[in-house]
Amino acid sequence: MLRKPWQPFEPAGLKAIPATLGVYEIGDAGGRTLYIGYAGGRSLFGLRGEIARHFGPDNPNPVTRGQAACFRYEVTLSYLSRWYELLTLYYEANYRLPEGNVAAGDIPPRLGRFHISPATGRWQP
Amino acid sequence: MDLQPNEQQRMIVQTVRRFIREEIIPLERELDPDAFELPPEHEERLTRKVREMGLYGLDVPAEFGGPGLDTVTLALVFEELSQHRAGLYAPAYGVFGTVGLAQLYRGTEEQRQKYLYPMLRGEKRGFFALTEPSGGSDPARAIQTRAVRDGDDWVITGSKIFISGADRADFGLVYARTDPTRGRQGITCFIVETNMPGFAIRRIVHTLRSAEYATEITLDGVRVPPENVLGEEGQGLDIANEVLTRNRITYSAASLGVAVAAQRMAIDYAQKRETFGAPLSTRQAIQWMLIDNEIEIRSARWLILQAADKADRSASARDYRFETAIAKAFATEAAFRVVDRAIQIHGGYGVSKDLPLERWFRELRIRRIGEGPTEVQRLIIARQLFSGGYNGSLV
Repeated sequence: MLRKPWQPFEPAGLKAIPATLGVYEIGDAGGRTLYIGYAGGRSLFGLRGEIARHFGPDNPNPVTRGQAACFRYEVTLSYLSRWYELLTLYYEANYRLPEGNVAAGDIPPRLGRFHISPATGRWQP
Repeated sequence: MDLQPNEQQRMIVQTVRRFIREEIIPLERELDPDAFELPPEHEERLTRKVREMGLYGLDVPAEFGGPGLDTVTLALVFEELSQHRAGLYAPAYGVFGTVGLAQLYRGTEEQRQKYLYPMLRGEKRGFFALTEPSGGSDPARAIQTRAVRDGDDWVITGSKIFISGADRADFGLVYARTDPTRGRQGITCFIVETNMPGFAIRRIVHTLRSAEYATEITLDGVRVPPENVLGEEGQGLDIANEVLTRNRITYSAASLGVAVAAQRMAIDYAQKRETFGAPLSTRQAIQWMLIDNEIEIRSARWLILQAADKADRSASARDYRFETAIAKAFATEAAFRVVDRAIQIHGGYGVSKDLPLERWFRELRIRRIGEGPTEVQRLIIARQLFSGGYNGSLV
């Protein structure tokens, strides 16, 4: 997991989020991880844009929509391999993937030593 | 002596070129710039298409169901396969099939049935684990992972680093020291399954490759049955080197392919981009960069083809190690310089993720280290130069 404290989302503080490449987590009010994502080479406004998307009125993700309350991020050029790593670590700790990733289908085809079902987010032997 | 590709080679190269340009590059434009795999539906569709073309498992010998291409043709094909953004480390995103762990061709029939054939069919994945925290260029001395007999079994303890794909693999080839008194003759190759107790992925190692990563693995008393010894006890490095030497040819060819693609982009851009009222292509500073690129590209190609031709005529990797070392050292270094110059010509766009140049630049930096760094290739070349009876001519 990202070793950083959760930050509450404040629209006024949006500009403080860097518009760079990196990985991020979206949490609910209780600090439970709902979604693990990345800002890649095709992300408009990098981390700032990706994180803001989960708190906006047009958020298409049914899990983070309404539930998203806080976030944390890490700036890194290795955003894809770090994303894989975070998802693998989350899976090892919870034996499932974050609900928001499952709902949006934002799951890599093959994750680490595990094979994840896009439908359930659970390991399938 | 014929310095032209034959009809069959032309046909295969043109087919692969068309496939990369018509199938891979348009799809790639939709992916993240650092992506190294296709969405499953496209991967399945394109793999099916490659199978229909008869080119699946490019590097697989005919007796194992592959097209059985000679090394020269393979080098020509790899030069084409890599000419897209992910082409260096994920040529055509793997839809031409895995090169696989070619060391397994030398396995017993039982080992082939259990590991090789499922891997070639895409049902199982393997990894190759030679490098350790103590080093990778001189494995005969660096390997500290130990395998000790316990009854009929072997018990392996140690760690490996910079191992690609271990976290996604079903099994791997692990090199361990079975006799500490015998130097390189004391290294044995074992087939280790990733679900064997004591096997663990300790961490992911992030690198310049960004999307694809390496792993560090630990082996804590992993018990391996005797039937999982690949080849003879003490012959591990011979088995490894045979394949590593040949792989350096396609490795060099893929690096060359990226250089060709970068040069094509640079020429095109130099003709279109105007500064101070004239196209860049009219500036001698730019022309000389492109000329240096072309000289290096053509030099690299002939060195690679010479090594490939020698490989096709040789019974053992020892016979063409010298040529392969020259090709690998020159092609990877030259490709890095070519892409560097192409970036310079493109200016700010060159380092942006809008273009593939920045990814090639990062990945080519690794290419100068992977599969034996340039300095080790030079060591091989020097050994040959001082081995006596130097004959610098072609005949």
